[in-house]
Amino acid sequence: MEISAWLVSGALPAAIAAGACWLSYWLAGRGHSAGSLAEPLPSESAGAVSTGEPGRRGRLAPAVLGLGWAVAVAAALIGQRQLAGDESSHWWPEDFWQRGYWWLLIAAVTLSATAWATFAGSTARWVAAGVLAMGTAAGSLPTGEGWEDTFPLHAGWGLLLGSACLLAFWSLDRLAGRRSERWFPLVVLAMLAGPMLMAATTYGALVQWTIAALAATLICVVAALAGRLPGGIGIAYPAAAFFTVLMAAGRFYSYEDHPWWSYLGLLLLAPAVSSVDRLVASRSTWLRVAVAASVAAVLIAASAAWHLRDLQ
Amino acid sequence: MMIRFALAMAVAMGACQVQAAETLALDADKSKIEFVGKKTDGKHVGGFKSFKAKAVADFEQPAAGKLEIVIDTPSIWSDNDKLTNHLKNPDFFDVRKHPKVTFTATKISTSGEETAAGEETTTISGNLTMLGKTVPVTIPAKVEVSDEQVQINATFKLDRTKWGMNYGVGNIENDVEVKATLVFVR
Repeated sequence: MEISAWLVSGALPAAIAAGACWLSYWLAGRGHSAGSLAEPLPSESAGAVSTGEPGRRGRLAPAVLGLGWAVAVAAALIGQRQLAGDESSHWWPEDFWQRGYWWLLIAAVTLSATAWATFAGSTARWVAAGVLAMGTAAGSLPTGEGWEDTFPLHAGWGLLLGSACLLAFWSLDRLAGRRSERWFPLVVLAMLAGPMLMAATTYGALVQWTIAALAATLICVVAALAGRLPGGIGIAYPAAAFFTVLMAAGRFYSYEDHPWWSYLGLLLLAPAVSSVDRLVASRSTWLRVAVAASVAAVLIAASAAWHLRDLQ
Repeated sequence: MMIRFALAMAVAMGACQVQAAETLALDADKSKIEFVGKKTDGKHVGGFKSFKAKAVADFEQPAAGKLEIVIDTPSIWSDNDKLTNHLKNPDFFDVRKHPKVTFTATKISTSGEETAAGEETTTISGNLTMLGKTVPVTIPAKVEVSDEQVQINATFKLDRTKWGMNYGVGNIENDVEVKATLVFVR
């Protein structure tokens, strides 16, 4: 990519995300601390976000972060289209994978804004998450005359993507609830990086947009590692919706008849990491991070090995 | 390239019985449209498996010849399966949204001189529509006419960015070499 493309896809979303991180931290209160990464952490709590009971301003922190993350990827998307200079383009994209943006925005303003409620104690949250997950999946499927040959696949893939999205919502929520808020954004990063590798062989514009999401997430990772991201759970929901859109686009733009199971490693990355982490939740943070990284690496490598084979 | 057909038909007037206008049928088995894309570290060959052409040759007035070519973009192929996959996507031909590339000749002119091989240089001007954008192009072609067929050979370059195909600019050359052989049965 040219420098201008890197600025739009990397620097711009990173800057917006940095602003959102700062605002989120300010809202949560400077006195808040996520603890030291090196110190032993208690085992799984009851599912509450590990910041204790936040005040009114503190409850806004995840929402601000989630919304900032969503704005960051939208700004990159609009900027990329301006750089492309296609006179026939509208300022906002029309392709099916870009329409999925609205779902991640909805996820940001609903689930992120109510992150303090957690799934464990809220049926309404489960219902909202389920509707959002299925809506994201349905909205991520290609439509229009040119895609008619893919329509028979939509029911199965819609269900698969919707289930993966809901599992990602839930598992990231649970993971963050186990006092992992200083490193769980790394899992979000891994969740997005795998599908990007898959898309990298076929579709540059999609990769560019994913780079924007990764840049925004990377800023959150840095802030979290520094203990300055008390509302970090806020990025989990829009990121999981983005991941669903990304998987749908990666699947339907492949034109190759990959077996459905070759996508499973990527679809189930977040739930797999969360499930394994549950087993080692009482161990040291460094061990938990190492285990999570190992699980993510194995799943990404297995899927990438299949999808990138024969690449020349 | 389809335009070349029309030009060829016009050229045929010197070698054939005088006929005001003759509709020619494309011999798809003998015809091909290929391209060579170059990048900083190599090149790839590709083409289209499916295309149609309509040509009308006016052997009395070559300029009155007609040529229209319609290429089915989903039929694209290349020397690498992953690349073929990529070429179908919006980075390049966006075959879902733009399943056709069309060329319609607007002017056909001939040099009037035959080479030793019996070919005549023809220039076909027309409109090439790709990715929803129509751009005028001029294509030099060699036309070979016999009693059985009219064959048009053309090798030329197209600047893909004129149609908004901007992926990889800087790494992939903007100019794509197109090689077309169109055979029409008389």
